[in-house]
Amino acid sequence: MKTCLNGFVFFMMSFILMPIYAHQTSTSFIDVTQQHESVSFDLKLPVIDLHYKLDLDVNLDGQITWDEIKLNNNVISQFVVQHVSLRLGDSQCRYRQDPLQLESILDSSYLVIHAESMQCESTKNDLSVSYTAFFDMNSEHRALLKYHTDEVEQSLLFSPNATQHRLTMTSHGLETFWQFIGEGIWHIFVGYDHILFLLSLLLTSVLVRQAGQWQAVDNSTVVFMDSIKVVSAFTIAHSITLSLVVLGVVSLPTQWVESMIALSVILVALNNLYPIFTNKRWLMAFAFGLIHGFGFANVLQALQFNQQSLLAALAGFNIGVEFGQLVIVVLFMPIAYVLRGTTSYQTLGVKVGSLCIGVFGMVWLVERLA
Amino acid sequence: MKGLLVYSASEVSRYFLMGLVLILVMPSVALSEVFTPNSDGFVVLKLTKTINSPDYTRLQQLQKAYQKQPDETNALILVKHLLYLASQTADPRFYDMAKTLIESKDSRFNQPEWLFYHAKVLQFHHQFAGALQRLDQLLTINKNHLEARMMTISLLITTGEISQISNECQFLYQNHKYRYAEICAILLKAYSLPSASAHQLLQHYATDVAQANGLSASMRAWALSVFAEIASYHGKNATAESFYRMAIDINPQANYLKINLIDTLLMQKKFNEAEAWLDPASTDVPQLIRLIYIQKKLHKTINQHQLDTLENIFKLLEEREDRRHLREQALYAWWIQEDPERALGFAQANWATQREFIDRIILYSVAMKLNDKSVLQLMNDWTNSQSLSQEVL
Repeated sequence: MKTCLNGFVFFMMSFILMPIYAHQTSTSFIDVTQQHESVSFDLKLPVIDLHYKLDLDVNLDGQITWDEIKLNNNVISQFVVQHVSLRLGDSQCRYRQDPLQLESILDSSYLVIHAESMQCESTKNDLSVSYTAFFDMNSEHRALLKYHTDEVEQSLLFSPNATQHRLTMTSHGLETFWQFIGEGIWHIFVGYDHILFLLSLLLTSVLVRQAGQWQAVDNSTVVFMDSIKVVSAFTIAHSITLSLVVLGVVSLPTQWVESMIALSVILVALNNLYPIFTNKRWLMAFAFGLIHGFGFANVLQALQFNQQSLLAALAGFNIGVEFGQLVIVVLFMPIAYVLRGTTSYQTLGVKVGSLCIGVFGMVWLVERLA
Repeated sequence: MKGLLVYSASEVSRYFLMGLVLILVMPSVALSEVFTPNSDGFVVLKLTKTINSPDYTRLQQLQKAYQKQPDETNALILVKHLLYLASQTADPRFYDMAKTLIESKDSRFNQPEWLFYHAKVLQFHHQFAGALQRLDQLLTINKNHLEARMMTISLLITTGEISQISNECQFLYQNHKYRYAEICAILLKAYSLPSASAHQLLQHYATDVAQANGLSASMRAWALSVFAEIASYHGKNATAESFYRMAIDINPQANYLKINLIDTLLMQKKFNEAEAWLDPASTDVPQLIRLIYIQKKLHKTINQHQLDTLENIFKLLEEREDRRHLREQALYAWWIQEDPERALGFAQANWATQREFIDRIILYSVAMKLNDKSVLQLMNDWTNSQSLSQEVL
């Protein structure tokens, strides 16, 4: 398990930070892995910074060889002990350093110090890390810390003003989940294009097309089933694309997506005025729902969340969106059902309402294509 | 409609499979990067690539002297050497070390040279307001400090505070620096004149400035680059191009002149000519962005390694919360990622500190693309607040 985790750590680091130009700014990397009271870390220090600090070129020949690194092993170890410390609860953790290794990160040479902490004598689980290397020489130096446990992954930045961080062992997944339910609901209520699309579909859920006219449906079960089919098709469709985008499987240009959403509003409104799909409107809901999913994804991606809580954010946002939709359905359908037989519903509600929705869609389409 | 899609269904499935393969292969590639050399003679780092031995020995001596006696004189000599090393090696660490040293002493040391060096490091770190403040302090102590006066003008152009340049011109006249005062007056006038008249004025003086006796090569090249900047402001990119070429002839080492020339060529859609000015093997961020942009414009195969390098650099900058490269971040988002919303965020943040030609072009183009009238109004307000003639973008 631990090997797998380390592999993942290296993979993530290498994926994020591969080649870079010769003179990158001074940056160190720390990967901390914790499993209960056992803590290990990989500290990666730029050799050039170590040289400016510790003067590693012993024979003054203008190059630092592996032999010179080994000769300076004790000095380097002391430097690490002096500038990197771990505390578990109120107890300072002593650690054992493995033999030094090298890594080329961002086209620069880094010294890799793998260390395993000896058991920290504390029952508390809150781990804190302090890092102060190079700050006295270079206030622009930064150290990027990645913290991994079985449950969480956390990124932190060390600077002269932030030399100590407390690491959180517990997952923030549940917190993120609840937060994003709220975001999903909020987006439905401020995303007028989605509301109008849904209302446009629901307007005719209480009607049936007969002899070229909309007629009221007698059977409430039919109305209920039609609404369920439309809403479910829309939900399933947008959930599919929302997930695919957020998981990075597929991507579409924002402008195109937003324009297509506007177009979907126009087409659904037009379908109420000049019906083509009367019985299988759930198919329209599904097809356009796929497009709306891309729109939801754009909103979700613009929100700040920890990548480790991605699934929680995705699930929360999606549920929030569904909840928002459900509220609209619950508020709208009883009114529509009661008024379905009236002329005012069939003319003002369906015809004028759809016309207005279509005009809104046109305005959005023009705006978004401009 | 299919043509509007970035990915077709078959491409999506292909990329999905490629992604899976990458995920399976990448960890082993990444893991192989940590290694233990099997020979003691393995060269971990060639210092000569960064710093030559005499310069490094001198650095060590000065550091030791400063540690022994951390007074103003030793600090000043050390800072001067660090800035020299920064200019020689282009390694930002030396600027950073100089800044660290200066800021550890700043409140106690206030002699002109110290203030000037502090302004220089702040300029490098894009802290223009702080740099101008230090220069102001310096000029209060010594109003005849010519380098500080010219650096102030340069910074005022960078920050878009053109109207404040007139004060500097007056000081130059009063101190009998007529050549400098003349350049100062020309550029100020050229900004406010209508396009055609400004163009005539700049062309009239450019050759004169290029051949001016008594002005250093870097000063003449800088003046021509400002003339070019103003020519671009008036939409005269061909003239700006000729001024940059003159400036590069005078000071061929100045990298900023080459980048400005390339941008001017790009504005004129002279992609092949711009490409000829770039080093295809460069790992320098401004060059990489332009190389890939040109590859895209010329429909050439994008160099994936260069693209990955850029992506990783910008990821690192964001992780470091580094705000020094907003212009490049905006360019990258706009030209390479083709993400106008993201580009607008960076361009607006950049506009808060930098308002040179390329900064205005990015902000204007992105705002036009997104039809963001508030940003266009903001740019218009800036033109009016500085009493400039209307910019031709």
